[in-house]
Amino acid sequence: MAGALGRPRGARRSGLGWGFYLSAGALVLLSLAPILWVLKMSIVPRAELFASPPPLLPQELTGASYATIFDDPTFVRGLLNSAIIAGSTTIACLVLGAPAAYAFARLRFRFRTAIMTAILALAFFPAAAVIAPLFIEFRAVGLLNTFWAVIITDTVFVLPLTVWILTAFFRQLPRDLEDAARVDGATTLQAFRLVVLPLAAPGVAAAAIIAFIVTWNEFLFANTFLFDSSTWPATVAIPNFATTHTVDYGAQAAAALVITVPIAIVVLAFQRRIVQGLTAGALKG
Amino acid sequence: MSPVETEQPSTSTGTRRTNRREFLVVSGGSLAAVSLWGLSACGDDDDGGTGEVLMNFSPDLKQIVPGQVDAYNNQHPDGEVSTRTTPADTTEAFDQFRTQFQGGGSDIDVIMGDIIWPPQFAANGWIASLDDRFTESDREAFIPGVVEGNTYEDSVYGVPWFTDAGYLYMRSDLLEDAGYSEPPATWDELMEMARKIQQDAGIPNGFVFTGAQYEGGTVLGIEFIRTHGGDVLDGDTVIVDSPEAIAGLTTQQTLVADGIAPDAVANYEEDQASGAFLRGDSVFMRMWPYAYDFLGDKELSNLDVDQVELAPLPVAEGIEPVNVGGGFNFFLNAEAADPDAAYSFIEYMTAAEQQKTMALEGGYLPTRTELYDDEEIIEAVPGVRLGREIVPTTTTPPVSPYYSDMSLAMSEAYNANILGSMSPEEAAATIAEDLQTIIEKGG
Repeated sequence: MAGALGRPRGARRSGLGWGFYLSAGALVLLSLAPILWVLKMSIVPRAELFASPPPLLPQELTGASYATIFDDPTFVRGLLNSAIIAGSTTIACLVLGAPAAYAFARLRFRFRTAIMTAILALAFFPAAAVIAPLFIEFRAVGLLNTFWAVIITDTVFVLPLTVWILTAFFRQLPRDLEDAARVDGATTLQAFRLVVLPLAAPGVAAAAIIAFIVTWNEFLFANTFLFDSSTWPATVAIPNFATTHTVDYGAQAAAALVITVPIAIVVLAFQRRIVQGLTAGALKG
Repeated sequence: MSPVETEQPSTSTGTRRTNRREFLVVSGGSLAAVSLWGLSACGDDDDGGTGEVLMNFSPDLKQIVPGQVDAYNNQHPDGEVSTRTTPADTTEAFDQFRTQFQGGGSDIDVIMGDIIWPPQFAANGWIASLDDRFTESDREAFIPGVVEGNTYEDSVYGVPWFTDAGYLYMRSDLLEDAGYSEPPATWDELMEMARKIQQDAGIPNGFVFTGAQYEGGTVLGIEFIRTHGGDVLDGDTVIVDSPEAIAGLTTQQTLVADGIAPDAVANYEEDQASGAFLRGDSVFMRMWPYAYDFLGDKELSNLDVDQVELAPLPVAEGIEPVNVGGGFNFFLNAEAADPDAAYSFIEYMTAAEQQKTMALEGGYLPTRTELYDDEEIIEAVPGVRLGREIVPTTTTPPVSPYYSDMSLAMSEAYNANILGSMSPEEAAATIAEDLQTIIEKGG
């Protein structure tokens, strides 16, 4: 907004006025458009879904698609399975990742940077390339068709991200606090547990939420390692709202929204912490 | 029959195959871990020869199959058949089985699978030959074209369960108004009738079909070729560049280029094609029989049952009626825990009584020819009533262990032919070249 700089604060806010809010509104609409379209698909009757040209606004409302998905035991069970898989993975990532991140942030040891880079490289390994070897390994140890196969794989892929986020966060905590704790007689681990972790709560929350979202949305590993519909997470159950010839797009849209809503709520509730956690260390350089 | 490497060498395990017992022992050991999560997924069959059978089925059959399995289990208290749901999307289910077999084997004994699976599974030694069990006299009771689709290198690998066939849907009301009393026998007649009715009655489209780039698009492309007397493969020989095949592709392209079929058919799958027809936007449609059930359903269709008739697909002058269909079959895992128990269950599921239930309750087309004379089925199932001349002319896609790759290549070329970005000759030459490469690379 040219010219806004020199004005007093109140004037500047109104100077942001319509232009700012118009572009902000356009941006929000653009980002939300696909979700709004999916919402529309989930609440209109089947005939309207296939109308040509499709009406922009819903002409007739129905809850039939939502009834379909909540009547389906595989999907309802899938929500629970997703929660178990994502929850376990998140806990595993934090339990393993937080001490590792603390070590990277505070201890000096050889090859520290090299190891951190290697860990990050792991996260960028293409999943499709490792899926066949993993399948054979899991078969050999009898973990196929159990949640373990997915939890272990997800943990391996999400852990690097957790470690990096937490390392950045731990680094920016003032070292003096731990020194003070140690002067009071705490060991390094006690200092970590009693002083650093509580202070690092925003970073831990950010790492946890990201780990949860990635796992909650995961499809490829679950679809490959879990064959039995009683073990499917929701993401694997959704494509099965279909028959050999037809696809129940309404039910798929409803299910897509249902699995997005919990994530959206969590992110909204914790958005400040997530931003705080993710930008940790960004300004210190 | 030497084991043939499958399409993706990177994921293939070659000759490595976990011994089934070994696998069961390992999976038994993991039971404790599994039960921690409240699951009993892997523990279905613990021992060989005890009559334990695990079968898979697609979730759209969940209204019918579990009841039949329960009935079987009640009759056979000495063993137990359990079930597992596999993805509704056939390609995805196929990929899942392939991953499992490449990883050492599948614990599913009785495999419900698509007609295009047997050669690919058989060439790798994953499913057992049924020559001794599904005898020649048994086979005579089934639709010949469908048994042929289950045959690979002179051995039969699958027992047909239910089938699907290509039908011509017609707006009989519009045809009558235009003075036509017979369905079009040839493609030329269809085009002429469609053009006239499009103009006179103001119907936007003359003909719709599934032309998208997917398995259904491949089936339609093959169908255009076969209804003109051509074919894609003859054994291992590629014959898709014949004048007959090119004539078929020319018809496919002309339909779109002349505005009889909309450009959008290049993106049509079943839902879109039947949607257009049921809205009343097309005179003809090539579709499976399932869409007939939607007629008269106000939520899905503007058309009533008395406005639509089914007929055999048109052909080129002098060609016998033919269509390309699919359908599902039962295969026997080559390492089934108890093959005898598994096969006796296959026999039960494919018997006339069970096929009749599938027809009456789900409209699935039987594979036993006698059921096309069953009064009860004829009355209740339009696909059977109106398809008694159509179903026996059903053929299946080419039998090849590399069919998945071939289908991908073909669907691309058929799609380009529909869009007009390739001439029919170019499309045929491209397919010929692609299939030749696939065969040489694989064989």
